Amino acid sequence: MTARTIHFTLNGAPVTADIKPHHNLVELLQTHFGLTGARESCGQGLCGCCTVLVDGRAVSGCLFLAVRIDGTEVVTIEGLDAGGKLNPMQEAFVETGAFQCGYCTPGFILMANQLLDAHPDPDDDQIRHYLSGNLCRCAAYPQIIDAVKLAAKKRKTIAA
Amino acid sequence: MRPFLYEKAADAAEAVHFFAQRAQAKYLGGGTNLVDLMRENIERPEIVIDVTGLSREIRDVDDGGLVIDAGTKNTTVASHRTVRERYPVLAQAILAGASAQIRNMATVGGNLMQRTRCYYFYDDAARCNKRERGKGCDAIEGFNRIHAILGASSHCVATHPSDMCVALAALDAIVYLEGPQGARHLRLVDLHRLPGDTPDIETELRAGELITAVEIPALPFAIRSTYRKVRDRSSYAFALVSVAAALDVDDKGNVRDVRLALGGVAHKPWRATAAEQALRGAPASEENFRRAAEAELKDAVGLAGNAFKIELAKRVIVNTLQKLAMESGAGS
Amino acid sequence: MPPLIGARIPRIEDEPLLRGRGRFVDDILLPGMLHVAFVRSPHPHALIRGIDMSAALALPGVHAVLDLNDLAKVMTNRRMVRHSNSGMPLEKAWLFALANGEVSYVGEPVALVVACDRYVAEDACALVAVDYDVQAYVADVRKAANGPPIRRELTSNVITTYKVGFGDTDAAFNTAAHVFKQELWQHRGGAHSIETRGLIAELRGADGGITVHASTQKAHDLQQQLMTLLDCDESLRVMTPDVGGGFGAKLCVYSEDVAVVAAAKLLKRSLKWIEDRREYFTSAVHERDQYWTLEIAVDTSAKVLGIRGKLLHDTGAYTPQDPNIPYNSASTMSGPYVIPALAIDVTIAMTNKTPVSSVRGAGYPQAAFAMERLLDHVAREMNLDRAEVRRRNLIPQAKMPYLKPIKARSGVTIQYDSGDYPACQAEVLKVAGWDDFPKRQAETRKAGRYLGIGLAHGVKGTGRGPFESGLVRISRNGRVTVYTGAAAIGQGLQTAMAQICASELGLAAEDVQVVAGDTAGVSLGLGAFASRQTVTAGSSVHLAAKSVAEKARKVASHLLEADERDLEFANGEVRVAGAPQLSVKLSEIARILQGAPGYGFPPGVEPGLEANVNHRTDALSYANGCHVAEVEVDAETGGVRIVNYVALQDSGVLINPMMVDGQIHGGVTHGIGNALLEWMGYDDAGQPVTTTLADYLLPTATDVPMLQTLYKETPSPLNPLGVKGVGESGTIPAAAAIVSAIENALEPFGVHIAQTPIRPEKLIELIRAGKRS
Repeated sequence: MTARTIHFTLNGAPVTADIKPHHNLVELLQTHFGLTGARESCGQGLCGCCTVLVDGRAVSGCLFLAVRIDGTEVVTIEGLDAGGKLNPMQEAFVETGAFQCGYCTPGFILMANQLLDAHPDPDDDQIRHYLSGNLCRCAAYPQIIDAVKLAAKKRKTIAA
Repeated sequence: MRPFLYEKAADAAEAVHFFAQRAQAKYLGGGTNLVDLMRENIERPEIVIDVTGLSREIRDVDDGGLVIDAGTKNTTVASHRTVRERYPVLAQAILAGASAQIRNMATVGGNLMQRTRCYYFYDDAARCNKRERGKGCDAIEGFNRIHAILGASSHCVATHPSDMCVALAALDAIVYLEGPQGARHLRLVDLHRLPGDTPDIETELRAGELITAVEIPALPFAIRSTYRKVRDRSSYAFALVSVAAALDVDDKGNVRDVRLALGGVAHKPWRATAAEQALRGAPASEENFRRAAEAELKDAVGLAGNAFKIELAKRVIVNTLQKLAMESGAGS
Repeated sequence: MPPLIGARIPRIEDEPLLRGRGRFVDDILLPGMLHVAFVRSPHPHALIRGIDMSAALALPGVHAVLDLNDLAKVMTNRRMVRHSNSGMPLEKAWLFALANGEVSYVGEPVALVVACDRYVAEDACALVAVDYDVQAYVADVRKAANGPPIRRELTSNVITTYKVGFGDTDAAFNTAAHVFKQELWQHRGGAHSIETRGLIAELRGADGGITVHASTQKAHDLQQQLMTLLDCDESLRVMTPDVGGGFGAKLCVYSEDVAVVAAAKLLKRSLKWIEDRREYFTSAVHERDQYWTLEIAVDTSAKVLGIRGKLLHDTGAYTPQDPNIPYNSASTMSGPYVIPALAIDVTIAMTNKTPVSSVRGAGYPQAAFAMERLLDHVAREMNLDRAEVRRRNLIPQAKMPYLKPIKARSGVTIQYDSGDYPACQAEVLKVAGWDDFPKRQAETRKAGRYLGIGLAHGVKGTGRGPFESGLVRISRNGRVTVYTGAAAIGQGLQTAMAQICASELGLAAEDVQVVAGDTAGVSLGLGAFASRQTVTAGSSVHLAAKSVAEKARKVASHLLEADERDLEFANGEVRVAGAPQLSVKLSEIARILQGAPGYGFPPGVEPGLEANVNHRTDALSYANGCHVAEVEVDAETGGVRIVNYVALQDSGVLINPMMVDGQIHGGVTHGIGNALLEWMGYDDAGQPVTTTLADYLLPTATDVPMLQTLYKETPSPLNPLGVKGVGESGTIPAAAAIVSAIENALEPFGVHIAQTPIRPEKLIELIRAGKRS
């Protein structure tokens, strides 16, 4: 089937790509832009590894057809550390030991940031439920909860 | 995944027009189910018509009801103030399903059109009458703990996986359609079919018909409504059994009105009309809740792996109604 | 400078992973690389009459469709024969690179397609027409002995039977005050690293050699096996990129590994294969399917006199490596207890199911489950507190080191090197509030809620030898590199090794680069399994760093004209203590020891500021843990919620407690999955049915409570660091503790649990059965 050209904003920069209708967002990022932070693990929207923000909302990139990206704003994990400095959530993940193999980590960080955008001061239960679409087999869940709470504090300090 | 044509429709008429251009056409909502099935080669459309460009509003209706456009995201519905206040059962049901990422993508129309999670439906090496009529069903003699106990047939024992639809069934939602022959509407409880000998035909939609909106009629007592879901995992898991309920108890402690629907038990969201009938006018007591549950599950049939759901469904019905009765100050 | 050993420092691995710049195998893109997909068996057992590849070959973008006959052209053997270290007869149990005219489990690779991209490869797979002649199969291991052969070549599905034991069980049972029987089943599950398997066979243009980039726990084994089967020289290099978790399943050399590299060699093209999750479900090894029939003999005071019984182990359709798991189970089931006599009859049988090898714990969780269930049974029948029964039977600290009269598979008699089990139990019970639990339980029961508490112990032999490699090298620019055959699979290996190395050289951990799992780095290596690397690689790196330090000291002593004993290491220099202006940089010493052509060389030192140590060990270091789980059970729906969990671990000296926390939490959570969620469903037709992460459920954030971890640090006398392993420790007692807690919660219903996982319908059934009796 014929390729089509899509235009969108990727981590703040306007970009263009020629894609086919059956390509998904993860492939688009990997093959056209060399961004591999969003990865497939289950390919069915069940694990959260392919989380990407489209127009400010977290989606599962493996089920998101690339053609639909036309005209949107896309933010990936690679777009978070502008200027080389880790963002507060990333810092909090390091400080609390909230990951091991790191394969799922970009998805967790993007989701955790979304959570704090919506609920700046979440309790444990909110954190758990919000992150329930992200699987971590190293099972750093307790540390991830600590990290989200630590990041919430960091954000407040920055805001203040 | 097989290559396919992609078109984005500007409005319902254009969508219907695109649909007619190929023999194998599919409307695309959020894609959380359709794209998954396409990746698994279960769905092989020649053309996919993106309908998320259609109107995505939630509107109040004069009589107190609500109209939700089919392209509205599940997240938007669940967080909508009127929904949370007037129809908590709907907000709860949506939030009990899937993950935040999926709810951000999934649309109301797509949720209605979700296909079963039966293992054998997903495994193209297995026999499945839903995938190919007349082929046989490996689930009936197979691994069937998640399968249907109500309304199943000797051709199919699959269940409908939606949580949202269970709430919509209880709320007696109306589904608006647009198709080649024009517009019409159906009650949600009439949209999905029981499997019978044609489990491949899952809804009453006619060829090319598109779901454009869902209306939830006014139901004042739905402010006291709830969704209870029993599942293997405490989050992001499909229901073994779920119950959507709204209860209206008068000041004498009698049931003035009740809405009850079950999920995870049938080929469609299961409106528990027998239980509702048994309860209307009766005292809101645990004993009567139990009696109503028994009435609803009277014809339930268990398979080797799922018979436990019959008693489980009864218990969850009783518990859920008990909880609502307590909240309304009645009940024992 | 504060000591680095024991420091809770951030990991050196972290930053790229956090920024989405980790480099996993799928992230490697090579020019001209083609993609592989596998045609897999839909049948548990069938003969292959023929394979029609024509339609697949006709699909545009398809480069080749290959079966075993094609691959055999570049292979020395159609079968992936290994040496049977255990001596078990495994000639007819080894894998094939692709099906050899017969398939014996659903998911077995039959043919492979090479295409321009993964879509085309997969579409072509669907076009490969395999003509199957379906055969009788065995799906239930209990029917394996008398069932039809799982493959034509076999006369029996039983690989072997053997006895594991010691002491006089007959006497024990004859003199026992009580004998209790118990039948148990632990069901199979998967490792399910979030990164699936995958590898790239890169054909190097420059020298024609092959570099294999593999997501593996055992780079050297993979290299040697590929060299043997494909008749390659050492120009075949295996490199391990970032690995997104292993948990056991990535330690085998698989059919796909050999098939992809063979195809690359045959086609002279670089090839990539990335497994999808459905493939992982049916083709990466499973573990835990074991049936136990046990009896325990106790005296009037509940002291164990003996245990006897049978263990039936399902090893699936092939053995990718020696099936050591049931030996692990039987030989270690006595755990932390004084057990005078043991006799277990082990049977290892094959079924038409996915092959079985290690998944986090490797036989130990089943053993702990068996032992702890028996002790709960004794407590119940004798009306004693479960903790008290354990206390009476735990090995007292005074008896350490404690000899178990049974051999580990290295042939060395099992000797617990150190630990204080009763003290561990006492502490964890105190923290978990064991003594006042009955009061809390009684109060909540009044309100119709069912709380329960349970405990379990686990002892894990860690640091499996015979060695691991550790090479420390300092370069002319002062950079320090550690090479090891150990594998970095996400557990923080680089940080641990860097801490150990840097600690000897007066450096910070981030000054040390660690290269793991690269066969060009060190010639020997065993890899990541059996909670072994901190003990084995850690010891080697420690000794190598020490040796490098000694060398540097010797040269510096010469250069600075100072006594070696007066020298110290700091900031990349060797300096005179108390006179830091008298110093020489490590980079300078490295330059000198690299030699200059024809010029002089310091006397009495070997060339190179480097040392390579393969620290030898046969004895295992025994780590121990005691866990207490508190649960609430919904007696109506069978739902279980873990409300509190306390895990005490003694893994000797801890290198980095933050990473150890992560290991324990991960291990416990795997145990939560095993106890409550993870059910690898097969139907009676031998078809795997739970092949998505929606059907096979891994624990999510909502299933895991805030775990409390406590540590004791009893040094191991067996290695220079005093360390013991930790990777699997959390998993071992977890399911046993949780099941004990559930049973305790449902005591009013007389519920007795004999299996894992235990899911709602089973609990509902047990509650109903209990009510009836």
